Amino acid sequence: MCTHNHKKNYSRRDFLTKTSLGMGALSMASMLDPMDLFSNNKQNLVNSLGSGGVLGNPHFPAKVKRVIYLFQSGAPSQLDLFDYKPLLNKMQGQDLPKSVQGEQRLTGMSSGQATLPIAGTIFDFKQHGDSGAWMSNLMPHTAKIVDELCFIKSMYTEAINHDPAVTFFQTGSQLPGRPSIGSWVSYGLGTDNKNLPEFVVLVTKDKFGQPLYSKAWGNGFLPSQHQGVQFRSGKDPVLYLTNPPGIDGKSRREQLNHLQKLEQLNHNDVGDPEILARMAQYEMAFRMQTSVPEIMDTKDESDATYEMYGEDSRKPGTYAANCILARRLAERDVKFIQVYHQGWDQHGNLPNAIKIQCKETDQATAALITDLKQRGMLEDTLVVWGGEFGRTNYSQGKLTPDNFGRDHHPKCFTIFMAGAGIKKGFTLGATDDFGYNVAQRPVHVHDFQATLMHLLGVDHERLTFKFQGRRYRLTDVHGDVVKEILA
Amino acid sequence: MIALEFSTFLGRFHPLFVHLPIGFLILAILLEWLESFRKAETKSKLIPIAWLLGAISAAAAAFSGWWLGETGLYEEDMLFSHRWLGIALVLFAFIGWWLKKNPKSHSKFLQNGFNIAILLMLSIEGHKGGNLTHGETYLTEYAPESIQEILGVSADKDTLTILGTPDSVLVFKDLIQPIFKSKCIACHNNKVKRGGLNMAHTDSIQLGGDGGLAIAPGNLEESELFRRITLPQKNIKFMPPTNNALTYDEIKTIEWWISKGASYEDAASKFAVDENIKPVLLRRFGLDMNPKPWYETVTIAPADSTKIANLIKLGFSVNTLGATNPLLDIKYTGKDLTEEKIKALEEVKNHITWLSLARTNVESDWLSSISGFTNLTRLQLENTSISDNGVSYLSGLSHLESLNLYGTNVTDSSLVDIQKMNGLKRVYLWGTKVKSETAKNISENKEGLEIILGEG
Repeated sequence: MCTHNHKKNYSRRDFLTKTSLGMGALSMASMLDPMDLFSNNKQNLVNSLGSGGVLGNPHFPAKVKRVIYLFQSGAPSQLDLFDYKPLLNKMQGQDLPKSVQGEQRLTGMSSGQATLPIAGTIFDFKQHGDSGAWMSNLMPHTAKIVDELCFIKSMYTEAINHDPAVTFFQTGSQLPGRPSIGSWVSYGLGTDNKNLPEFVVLVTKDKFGQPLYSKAWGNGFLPSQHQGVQFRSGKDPVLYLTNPPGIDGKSRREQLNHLQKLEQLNHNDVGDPEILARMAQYEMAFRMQTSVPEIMDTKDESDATYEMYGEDSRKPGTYAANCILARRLAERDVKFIQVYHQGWDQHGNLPNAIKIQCKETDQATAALITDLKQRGMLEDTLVVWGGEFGRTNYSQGKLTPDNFGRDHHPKCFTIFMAGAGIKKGFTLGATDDFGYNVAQRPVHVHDFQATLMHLLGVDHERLTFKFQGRRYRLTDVHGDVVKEILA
Repeated sequence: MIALEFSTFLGRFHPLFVHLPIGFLILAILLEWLESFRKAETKSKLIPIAWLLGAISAAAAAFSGWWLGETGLYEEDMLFSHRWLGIALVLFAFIGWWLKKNPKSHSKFLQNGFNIAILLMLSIEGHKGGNLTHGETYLTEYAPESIQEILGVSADKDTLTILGTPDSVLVFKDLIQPIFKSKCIACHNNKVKRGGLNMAHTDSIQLGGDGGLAIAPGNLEESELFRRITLPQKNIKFMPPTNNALTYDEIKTIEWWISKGASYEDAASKFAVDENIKPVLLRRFGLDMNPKPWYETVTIAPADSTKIANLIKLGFSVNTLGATNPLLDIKYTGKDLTEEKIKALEEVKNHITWLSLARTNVESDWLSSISGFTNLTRLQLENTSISDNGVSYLSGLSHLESLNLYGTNVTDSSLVDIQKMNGLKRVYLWGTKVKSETAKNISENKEGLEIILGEG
C-alpha cells in the first residue's frame, strides 16, 4: 500500500470523496450488481480512443458537429431589422402606454425621461423568399437567404445591461465565473482535430463601445485547457506562440519534453489537476505552431471567395475576414467558433450607426452561410446570429423624423440560426403589436442554450461539473429544448 | 340514485372508523404481553374491554367499507381481498374478545398464537387498504434511491413513459385505452355498467350505452363520450363525475383518435397527423411523429471493439453516434489512404452511417467496397479526384441521404447514377463539371432531391 497520499494537495473534501465515500460507493455498487463492478464496457473502449471529451459519446446522435456563433455584441435593434411593427409608425411620437410597459424596469439611461415616445422604424420592410420572412432593407444580402434561416422572434433575457447580458448568454449566469458554452462543449465532447483548440474566438478589431471581456470565453471552474483561444489579426495570431528569436523547433521540443517530466514529477507529488491542464496547453501550443499559420494563411482562398464575403474580407481583423477564418476553422473541425462583432449599442443616432454595422456584417454573414452550404457543411454545422438583448420601441432621447435612439430591451428580441438539425425558412414566436412583449412562444436564454446543446448531442441536464459542493451545468436549473425548431 | 348516494355517504366514514380497531387491538395485545412480561398476578380487566371495542369498531369499519367499495372507484381484485380479509378480521376480533374474557381456560400457546395472527391480519389489511386509496407506490415513492433499488421498485415519479416509434405504437391500445382505464373503467366495466356503457372491451365500447353511440368514428359531434368529457365541469352530465376530469392532452388525444376514424387496431403511423396534435403526442407520450432519420431507426448490436481499435490503428477516426446508438461515424484525414485501408472498413460495413474521405487521395475504384455499406446515410468525398466511375459504385446505397462531391471530377454523366439513389436528398456538386441546366432538369424530375451547385 502506498502511504504517501498525505503529501498530496488534496482538499479535505477531495480526500474524503476519494477514500471513504469512494470505498463506500464501490461496495454499494458491487452489492447492487456484482457484475457491474467487473464488467468491461465495450462502449467505453471506443470512447477512450475517440475524441477525449468527458462524455465520450454524445448522449444521442449529434445533428450538429460544430457551431459558428456570430455574436452581435451591443444588441442590434430587432425593430429596425426583423420585427416589423407598423403600429409603431402609426403611433409615432406618442407616449408608450403604461399597460404595455407593465412592470418592466428600465435602465438609468431612459428611466428618467418625461415621456417614452414611440419610435417606428424608418427603414423599409419587405417579405422575402418562399418563407415570406420580414426583413428591412438594412440587410439586403441576408434577405436573399432567408429560406435557409430559422428566426426566433420571441427571445427574452433577464439582464438589462451589456456585460451581465453577454455573460448570461455565454455562460448561463449573469455573474461572472461560470464556464462559457464553448468550454462546456470542449469539456463534454472533446476535439475532432488534435492540432487545434476545440474552442476558438475571433473578435473584430478596432471596434469599441460596450465592454467585452475575455471571461465571455473563459473556462470558469472547468479545467483550463477548455477556455476559448483568441486568434488575432496581425503578426501573432495567438499571443506568445512563436519561438523566441534564436530558438528553433527542435530545441523547443526538447525543452518541452524536459518540462513535461518535471511537471509530471510535480503532479505525482501534489496531485493538482491544473498541472495536467497546463501540460495539455503546452502541448497544444506546440502543435499550434504549425497548425495556426496554416489556418491564418488565406492565400489559397480564391478571388471569388473574397468577392462573395465582400471587399472587407481582404483586410485581416474585419468581421468579413473573421467569417472566412471561421469557415476555415470549421473545415478543420474546430467544434466551437465564437465570432464577436461589437458596436450595435445605438442609444442615439441609430439610423446612421446601424447602417454602418450592417454594412460591416450583412454581406459576410450571408456569404458564410451560402459558402458553408455549397461546401456541404450545413449538413453538420450550425450558424447562430444574435445579440445579448433587444432594443426599445420608444426613443431614448429626442425623437426627430430622421433620428432617434433606442435603449436596452430584454423582454423581446430576434436571433436567427442556419444549418444542421433545425428547420429552414421558419419563424418561431412573435411579439405583440408594440414589439414590446412576447406574445407567442417565449424562448429564454437557457432554452436557447439547452437547444444548442441538444443539437450537439448533449442532454443539457446531464453535462455537469461538481464545484463548491454542488453540480453545475450550463443551464443551471433551467432550460427546455425548443423542439419546435428542430428539423 | 338516492339510495346509492346515501350508501356512499355511509361508505365515506370508512377511513374514519378504520384506524380504531388497529389502535384498540394493538393496545390490547401489548398490554397483555406487558403483563406477562412483568409476571403480574392478576390479569387486567381492561384487556377484554379493548378487544370488544376493537371488534365493534372493526365491524363498523367493515360495514362502512362495504359501501365504500360499492362505489366502484376501486380496483376489483384488490378490493375483493381487502373486503373479505376485513370481514374475517371482525370475526377474529370477536373470537379474541371471547378468548380473553376467560384467559385462564385457554393455553398460553393459543393466546399468543392468536395475538400474532391478529397482528399479521391487521398489518396486511391496513396495508391493502392504504394501497387501495393511495396507490401501491405511495410508501416508496419518496424513498431514497438506494432503498428503492433494494426493494426493487422503480422511481419513475415524473417521467412519462416514452413509447416507441409511430410504427410500433398502437393508438387505441397504447394511447387511448390507458386513459379509459384510469378515468372511465371503474364505473363502466363488465360488472358495473353505469348508463349501460361498458368500456372494458373494444366491442362493448362500440356498442355504446343508453345514450347511443359513445364513439362515432370520424364524427365528434355524434360521439356521446366526447360530448360528456368536454361539458362544463359543473354540468350534471359531465364525465367523469369524480373530480378526475381528463386533462387537455388526454382530451386532445381522444379527439384526434375519434376524428381520424377511431380505429381500434391501427398504429400511429397510419393516422393522419396535423400540426396541432404533434406537440401533444410528443409532450404526453414522447411520441415523435416527425419522420426519423434512418440512422435512428436501425437496431444493431455494437461493433466489435477490436475491429474498431484496428481501424483506429490504420488512421481512421472512429466515433459511435451516441451513447445508445452504436452506428459509426468514421473519418479519414490525410493523403496516405490505401485501398487496403478502405477494405478494412468492410469489417464494420453495417455500422457505418457517416463516412468522410474528404480531401484524401481516395480513388474512384476503391469505392467498390463502399457499395455494400447498407446503413450509410452521409458520405463525404469532396475535394478528391473521384470521377463518374466512382459514383457508379454508390448507386445501390438506398439509405444515402447526403452525398458531398464538390471539388471532384464528376460530370453530367454521374447524374444518371445519382438519380438511382432512392433515398438521396442532397447532393453537393459545386466546383464540378456538372452543368447547371442538366442539374436543374434532374432535380425537377426527381422529387425530394436538392442539387447544390453553389455560387459561380
